[in-house]
Amino acid sequence: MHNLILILLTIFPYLQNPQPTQMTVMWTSPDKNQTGWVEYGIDSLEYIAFSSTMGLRDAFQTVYRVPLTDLQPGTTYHYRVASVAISNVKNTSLVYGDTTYSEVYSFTTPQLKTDKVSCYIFDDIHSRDTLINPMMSANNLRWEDADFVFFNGDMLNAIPSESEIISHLVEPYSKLFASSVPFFFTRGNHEYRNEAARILPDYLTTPGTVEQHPFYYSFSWGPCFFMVLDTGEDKEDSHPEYSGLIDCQNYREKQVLWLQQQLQTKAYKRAKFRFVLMHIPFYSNTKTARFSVGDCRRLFLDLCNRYKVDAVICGHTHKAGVLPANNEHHFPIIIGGGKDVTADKSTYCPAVIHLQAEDKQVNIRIFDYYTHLRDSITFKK
Amino acid sequence: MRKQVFFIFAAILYCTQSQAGLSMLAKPYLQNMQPTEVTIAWTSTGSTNAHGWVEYGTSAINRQAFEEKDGLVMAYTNIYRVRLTNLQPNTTYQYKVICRIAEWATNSSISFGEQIESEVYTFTTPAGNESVFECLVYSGVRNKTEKFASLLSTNSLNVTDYAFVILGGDNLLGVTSESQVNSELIVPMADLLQQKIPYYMARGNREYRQKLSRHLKDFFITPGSADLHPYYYTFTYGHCMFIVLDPGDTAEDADAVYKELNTNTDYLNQQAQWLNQVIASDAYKTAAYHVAILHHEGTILDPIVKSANMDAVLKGEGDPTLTVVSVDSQGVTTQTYK
Repeated sequence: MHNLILILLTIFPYLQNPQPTQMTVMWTSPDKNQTGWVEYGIDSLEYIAFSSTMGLRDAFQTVYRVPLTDLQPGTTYHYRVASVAISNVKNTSLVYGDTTYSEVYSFTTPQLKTDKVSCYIFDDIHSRDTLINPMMSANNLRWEDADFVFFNGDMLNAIPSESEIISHLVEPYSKLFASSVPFFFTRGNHEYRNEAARILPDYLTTPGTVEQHPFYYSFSWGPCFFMVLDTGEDKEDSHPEYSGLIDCQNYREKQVLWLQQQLQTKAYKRAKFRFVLMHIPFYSNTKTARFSVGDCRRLFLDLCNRYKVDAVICGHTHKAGVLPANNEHHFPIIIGGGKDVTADKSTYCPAVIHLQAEDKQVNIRIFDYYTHLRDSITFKK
Repeated sequence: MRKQVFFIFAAILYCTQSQAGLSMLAKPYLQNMQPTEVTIAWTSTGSTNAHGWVEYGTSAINRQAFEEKDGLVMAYTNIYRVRLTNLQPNTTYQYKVICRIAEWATNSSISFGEQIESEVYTFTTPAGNESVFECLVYSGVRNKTEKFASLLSTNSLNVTDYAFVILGGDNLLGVTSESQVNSELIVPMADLLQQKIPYYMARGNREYRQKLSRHLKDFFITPGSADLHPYYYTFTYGHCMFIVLDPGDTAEDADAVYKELNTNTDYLNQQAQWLNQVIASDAYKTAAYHVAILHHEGTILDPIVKSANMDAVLKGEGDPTLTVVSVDSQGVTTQTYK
C-alpha cells in the first residue's frame, strides 16, 4: 500500500510555449482533490507561481497550467512542482494534506537574438511512444541538442479518454525530455477522433492558446519563422465516418485568413527562413490522397507559393522523404513519419526530422530507425 | 502495480461513463438574448456520449444550429449551449432541442443510439428600443430553491410580465456538484422561465465556495463569456444599461476560511480597470439609464460605482429577495420583496 501511494503521487511536469521571458509549466494529477504551484529560480527555488481563473485559484482539477513570467532571456532556471491534497471541503472550511514535490528540473529560456535553432519534429507515432527513444539512440540524437520539439500530428491514434492523453502523450514525453525541453503541438487527423478529442486543448499551451485557437499559431526562433496550421480531418465533413460531428471546412477557411495576416507580419518579413508546419501535405507521395490533401492545396498552396515560404513540413503519408520544389509547389515538401515494415502492420518504423539552423543555413535531415539517414535538404541564404 | 492501479481507474471510469440511456434534465433555458441572437442551453442526464442541436424557425422549424470549436462539433458533455445568430428583432421563433447518443465503435466509426427531442417552445427577440419594460432580480435564495417560485406567487407577480431575470448572487449556498447545480438552480429556473424568458447569471460570495465553483460558468453564456470574464459584463435593454459586477468572496484572500484558494485581489483590480473603461465608453454615455448589480460592498469597485451616479445599484441582503426593476420614460424604480 505504501508503494502504491508513492507511485500515484509522482509528478512529471512538461514545458510549453517557450518565449524569451516566459515558460509555461504543466502537469497532471491522478486525483482532483488537490491544488499545486511551481517553485523556481536561477540560483535557488526562490519564487513561487500558481494560476488562477476569475478570482479562484486553480484547484480540484487533473491538469495544471502555470505560466512563469518576467523571466530573463537565454537564462537557465531550476524548478519543481508541488501538489497539496485537499479534503473535507465545506462552505467555509477545508483541510490541507501532505505536499508532494516533483524532482528539480531545469530549462533555458530562448535568447532574444540568436542565429541558431535546433529542433526535432515528430509525427505519425500513433500512440506508440515507446518507439521514440530507441530510434533516437540508433541515430545518436540527443534531447539536450534540441531547443524544442515539435509534434506535427497523429502523435495519438485516437483520444477515447483522458488517460490516453496522459499515458501516451504527456507522461512518456515528460519522462523522455519535456521536463527540460519544451514541445509545441498541432493536431493530425487522428487527434480528432473519439470521445475525449474535445478536451485535448486543456493539456497543452501553445502560442495560439490565449487567442483561443490552440492548434494554429506562429512563432520565431533564431533565423526561422514557423507558421503552424491545423489541417483537420482527412475526409470531408459530410463523410459518414464522422456522423456530422466534424466541422473542419469552416475551420480550415478561417485559417486561410489567419495565414494571410501572418504573411504580413514583421516577424515574417524579418525572418531569414520561413517554414509552414502542417500535418497533411499539399501532395501525397503515396497512392492514397484523401479529400483533405486537395482541400489544403486549394486553400493554402497559392499563399505559400506567392509569399515564398522555404519549405512546408508535413506528415500523414507514412512515407518519409523530401518532395523537391516543382512548378506546382515552388518549395520542397518535407514529409516525416513512420512506415509499416510488415504487411500485417505489426512492426512500425518511426522517423524524426532534425531541423538545424545557423545564420544563413538550415539543414533538415530525416532519420528513421532502420535506414538511419533517410533524406536531407539544405537551405542557404 | 502501476497497471493494477490503472485498471482500477479504468474500471471506475467505465462504470461511470457507461450508464445506459439519455434523458433531459433541465428543459431549455435562454441565455444572452439580444435583438439578433440568443443562446439556448439545456442539460441531460445519463450517458455523456451525446451531442445536441437546436432546430428553429419563425413560421416553420426549418433551420438547424449546433456549436463547434476548433473544427469539432461540441459533444460528449451533459451541458449543451447552442448560439442562434442572425435572428430578426422583435420576432417570435419556435424551437426544439434534440440530443442523441453517439458512441465510438472504433476510431473511425460512430454509432448513434437513443435520440430525444424536447417539445416545441417559443421565444420573442427584443426589438432593441423598448422604452418601458420590467425585469426581475433574485438574490440570496441560497439553497431555498422553492423561493424562486414562492417569491413570485406570494406577491402576486406573474413571471411572464417581465422581460428577463437576473440572478444577482448567492442563489446557491456553495457549488458542490453538477447534480446539485442542476437541482438547485438550473432545473428550477428552466421550469420557472418556461423556455421563453432569458436570464443572466451573476455571482455573490457563495458561488465561490466548494469544489465545483470553478466549473459553474459552464452552465451559462453571458455577455462576458466571449471575453473570458463571464461574471462581469454589461448589456443594454431598451435605453437602459445593466452593469453586472462580481465583487468576489467576502473575506481577504489570505483569510483562514479560504486557505489562500481565492485570488480576488488581482481579479478585482482587473475588474476595476474594466469598469472604468465601461463608464468612459460611448455606450455608457448613450444609455439613458444605468442599473448596477453588485452583490455586496467592501471592494475597490465601490468608489467607481458611487462616482458613476447610476440610477440604481442592486445588492443582496442576506435573505432571499426578489426585486422588480421598472424602467420607463420617467426613470428607474425598484421594489424589493422578501
